[in-house]
Amino acid sequence: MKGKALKIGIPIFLLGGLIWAMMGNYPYAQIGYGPKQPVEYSHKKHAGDFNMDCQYCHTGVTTGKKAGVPSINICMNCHVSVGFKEDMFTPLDKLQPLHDKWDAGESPQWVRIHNMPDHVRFSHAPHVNSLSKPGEPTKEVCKTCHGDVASMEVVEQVESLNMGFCVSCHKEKRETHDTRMNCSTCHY
Amino acid sequence: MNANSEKGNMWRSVEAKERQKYEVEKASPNEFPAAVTELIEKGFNYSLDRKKFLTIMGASLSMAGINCAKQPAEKIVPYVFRPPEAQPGIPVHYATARVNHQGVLPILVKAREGKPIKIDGHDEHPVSKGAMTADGFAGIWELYDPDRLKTSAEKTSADFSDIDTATAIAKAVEIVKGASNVRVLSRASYSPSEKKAKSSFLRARGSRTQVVYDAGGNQAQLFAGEAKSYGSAIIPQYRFDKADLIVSIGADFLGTWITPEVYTKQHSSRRNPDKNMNRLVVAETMMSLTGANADTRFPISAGTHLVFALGLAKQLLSGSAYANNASVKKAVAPYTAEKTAAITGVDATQIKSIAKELKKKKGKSLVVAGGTNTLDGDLGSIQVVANLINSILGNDGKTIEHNVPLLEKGDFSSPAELAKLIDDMKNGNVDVLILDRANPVFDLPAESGIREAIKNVKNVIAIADHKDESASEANLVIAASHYLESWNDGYSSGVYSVAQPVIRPLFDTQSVGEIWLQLAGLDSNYYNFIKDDNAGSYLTGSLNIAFEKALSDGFFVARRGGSSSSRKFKAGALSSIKAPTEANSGLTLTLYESVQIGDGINGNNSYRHELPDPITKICWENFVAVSKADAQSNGWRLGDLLEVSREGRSIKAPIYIQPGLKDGSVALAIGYGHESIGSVGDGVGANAWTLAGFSKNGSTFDGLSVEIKKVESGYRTATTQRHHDMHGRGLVRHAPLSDYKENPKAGSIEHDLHLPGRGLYPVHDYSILAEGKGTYKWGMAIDLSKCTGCSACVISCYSENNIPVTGKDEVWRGREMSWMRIDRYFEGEIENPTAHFAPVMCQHCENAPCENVCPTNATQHSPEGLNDMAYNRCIGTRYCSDNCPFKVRRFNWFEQWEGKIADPAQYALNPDVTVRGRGVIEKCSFCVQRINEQRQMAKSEGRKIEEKDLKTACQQGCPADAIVFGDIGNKETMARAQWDLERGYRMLDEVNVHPRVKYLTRIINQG
Repeated sequence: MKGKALKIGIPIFLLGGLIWAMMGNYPYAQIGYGPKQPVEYSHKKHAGDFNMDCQYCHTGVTTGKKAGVPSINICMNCHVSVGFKEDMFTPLDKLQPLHDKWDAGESPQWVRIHNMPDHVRFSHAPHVNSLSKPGEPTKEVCKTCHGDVASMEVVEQVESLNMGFCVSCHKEKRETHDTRMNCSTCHY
Repeated sequence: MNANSEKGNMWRSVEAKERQKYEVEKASPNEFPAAVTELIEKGFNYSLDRKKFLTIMGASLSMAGINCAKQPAEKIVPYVFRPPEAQPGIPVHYATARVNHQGVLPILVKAREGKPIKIDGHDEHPVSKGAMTADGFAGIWELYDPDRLKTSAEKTSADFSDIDTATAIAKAVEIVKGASNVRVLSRASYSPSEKKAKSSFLRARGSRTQVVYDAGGNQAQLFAGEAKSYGSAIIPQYRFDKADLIVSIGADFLGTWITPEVYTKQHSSRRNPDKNMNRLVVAETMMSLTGANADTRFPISAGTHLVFALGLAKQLLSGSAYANNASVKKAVAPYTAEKTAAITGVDATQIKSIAKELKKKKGKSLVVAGGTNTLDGDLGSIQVVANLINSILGNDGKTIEHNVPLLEKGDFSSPAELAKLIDDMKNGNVDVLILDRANPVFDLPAESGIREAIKNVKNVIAIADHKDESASEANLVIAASHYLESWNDGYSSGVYSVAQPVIRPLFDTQSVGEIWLQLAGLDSNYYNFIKDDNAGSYLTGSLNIAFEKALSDGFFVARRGGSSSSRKFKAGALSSIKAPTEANSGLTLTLYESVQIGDGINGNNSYRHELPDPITKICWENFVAVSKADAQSNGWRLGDLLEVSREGRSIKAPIYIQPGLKDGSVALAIGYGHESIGSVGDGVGANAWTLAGFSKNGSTFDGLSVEIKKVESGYRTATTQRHHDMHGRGLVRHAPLSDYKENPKAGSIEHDLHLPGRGLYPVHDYSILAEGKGTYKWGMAIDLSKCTGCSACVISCYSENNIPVTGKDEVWRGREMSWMRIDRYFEGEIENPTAHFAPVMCQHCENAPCENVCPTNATQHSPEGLNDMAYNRCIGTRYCSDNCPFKVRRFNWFEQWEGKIADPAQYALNPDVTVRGRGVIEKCSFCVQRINEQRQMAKSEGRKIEEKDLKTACQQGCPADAIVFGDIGNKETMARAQWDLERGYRMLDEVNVHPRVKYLTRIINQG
């Protein structure tokens, strides 16, 4: 009787656990998540090759909760004059979707990669401001959570961004950065 | 008299005092499947054998596993062109104003991502100074009311069919063009532009076209009384802040009368026992908020407010400038102190002593009278007597300023004109009746015959926001926008306000100004009309620049008032006054306005209904308030449903035994009993206008002779008055001013600490709070001398913290979700008790009993002294709630949001606060989202949070400035100054919990 329970019970339990994990529930499932975006935008080109500062597009990062995905008028600051084929008139194939949207007066629907659960509140401004050092490009700070985006063709998540990730950093920087550890720092 | 609940004479309800028992019925909630409900209901008596238990257990476990799924993909849709001020996640505040029939309320609207989410007072406004009422805060849910008209409608044969609003207006223009006798019935308007647009429509049709009426009657009464006594129809500025002694006869100026938010601010500014504290004396029938806050309150019989005023005038007359005036002498002659006493039920000596007090405060006192509850069928009569008293005392021009009135040129029609219109309608002499946001079928006395009369009008066009009782009778309904969707302007107290829309109309609606422009055939858009045709008469300087400034500020001070000379009182006005000369016999009814519903125009707002009445703590209903002696002599008990009838009309409402109500007097609130306003308001309460009287001289709301009989027993009334009881432990402390002057600790009770210096757990370590490390010690002080119990804070908290409404059934079960409640205590004899209020929210105990018992560590202490609550850790054992001595934790018995909220109501939610699901405990967080927002801002800018930047929602909402919140670790803050006052005490401090909320003993000025 006992043996039977173990023989059947344990495999069922393990199988269940495996299915659960395969469904994407293990804590690190989001690492490596880099979905296809409506416009094939390359961070490698912009932030890496051209060495643009993150804040050119992500304007809210030092002043608000959200870094902000840029409104298209920011893209168009440059792309009214760059990114065309040799006839100087037709946009490059990769840029065609952007121009289509721009002409239609709509925004592309970007797929969110770094997604905090609804019960977590994260604000960019205090983190970026307190971690950045004078004279250093913003991306050195962004790297902490977002990885080296400047080398990514398609952006993907590199850190788990789970509670342990947040807490370990808050713990580490307690002495130097006046970090807070209580629940209502993030949950309210 | 240091009477405190400790000694057992403070009580919260009649039942508690009398130890009556009443039966408890059961009702089934509908969220859980029947079997589970049965299980819960039966509790441990349910025969659950081991096998069954395991079956259910196993099923639950496997269900729990199925619930898990991969994180769903979310989309980010940025702006195409981002306006520089619109940064996602950062709120934008707009200064605007609510301009409606109540007057002009300057407001500041907080919008997130283009959606208004909270209404607050406008701090910079010179008159309101940021004061708000519960009524003002509730406006946000009226914007997002799912039952609002989504488009206009036309009645073809019997049913309405939707048409778009532009077409509806075009049709209205056609209807009006061909008609010969067009009449307009409307509520008051305080927007110069709206009035101007309308008047160009009216001008073509003769001056008698429009009839403006006042459903509650407060304003119309004041305008009429002022016109009779001084010649011009205005509402003067009552300066409660300048008066040492205030006598109110029926006027509920802290709750419902004219501009309660401003009056509360003024009054509370003088409730400082350390500096020239004022004294408030109230004579009234039903206990109002003002009466509950009185230093001395005289309960008087229903229908005798005028007699009390006349009796008081007689006492004051001798030796005054009016002593030899024949009309004055004649009017007051019958009302000797003894006669007045016999009619009103107040002691003759008390009338004399109050007169003596008033005589000592000439020019420094203020007598106000009026309100719905004093309308005796002769509009303005009580005002005339109050004005006489103020003129005798020389208050006019001093505590009553009239050079720049609060409201000028009231456009109310006389009651005779209203009666004439109804007659015309009845006789079929009206071709077209336009209802401008008026709902006369609901809010005119049934005696007027409006319900039948409106059926004889060929064409009824209703400009309305709900398909209410009157709009249902219309042929054409034009959908009007909410004030947060409309351009408008307003003029009051010499201040010109520009009201800007905060959001585009959610539905196919237009603002009332726009509608009138089109009906008048003016080819202009309303914004241009306001700016080019109206603003110029109030603004100075270049119009464009001045208008832009007024728009961004929300107001422009056009005229400044101040003390002025006294006006000449026209004693002739007294000649027509008829007051009762005999005491009432039988039951006499008085109708009053309630704080939460007012005149019922916004009766479809569930938050208004859920807010407990400040005095009775009853929600979701109006009730027949009777005295205890009357209840006993008639054999009525709590839980009875009574039928009140007068002249063949009757309504049914539950009984409530009201302490401080004279025997023979009965009170009932107006504004309830909608039949057709929406899914929330329909059938809630009974329509008291059914019983009101109507005549050519004015409506009668007070002194109605009624018959009452019991029709049913076992009726359930939802009242919060006994919920969350803390079993009387000296929670509300008070002391007379004379005692306080001798001993600043008067009223406080020194307790022996239970187990001094010892606790179950180690004392919380705050030593890491070293100065200069950017940390804070949060604390709050609530001044009970200032708190009026008006409940504005409660509604502000609901709005800020996404607190759900639960409904009557759940409130009855004690499951209302309000994070802060206002405990109301009575003290003394049931015939005339003293009332006390205490707002109670989470006290953020330093030794919090809730934290120790949480099995999942969901509630934890922060180093700054906050009692944190992590909702996602909570598994709903409710141990914390059980262990909380203050009973401030709320449990989500049901899912309140997911799948329950109807579009577009979800937009009213504050995105900075987590929406809680079923099975989770929640409670006051000291608005931690606001603290954190300010902290993040301060941190980014490398500074500390400044006190002026951080206010909790309740503090911001308090018109009395009774609540102060801040860093009590910093010696320079206002919060610390209040915290250190000797008047302060902490609730239940003797049990060693060390709350972070301090209450300041209520000081009563007994004269």
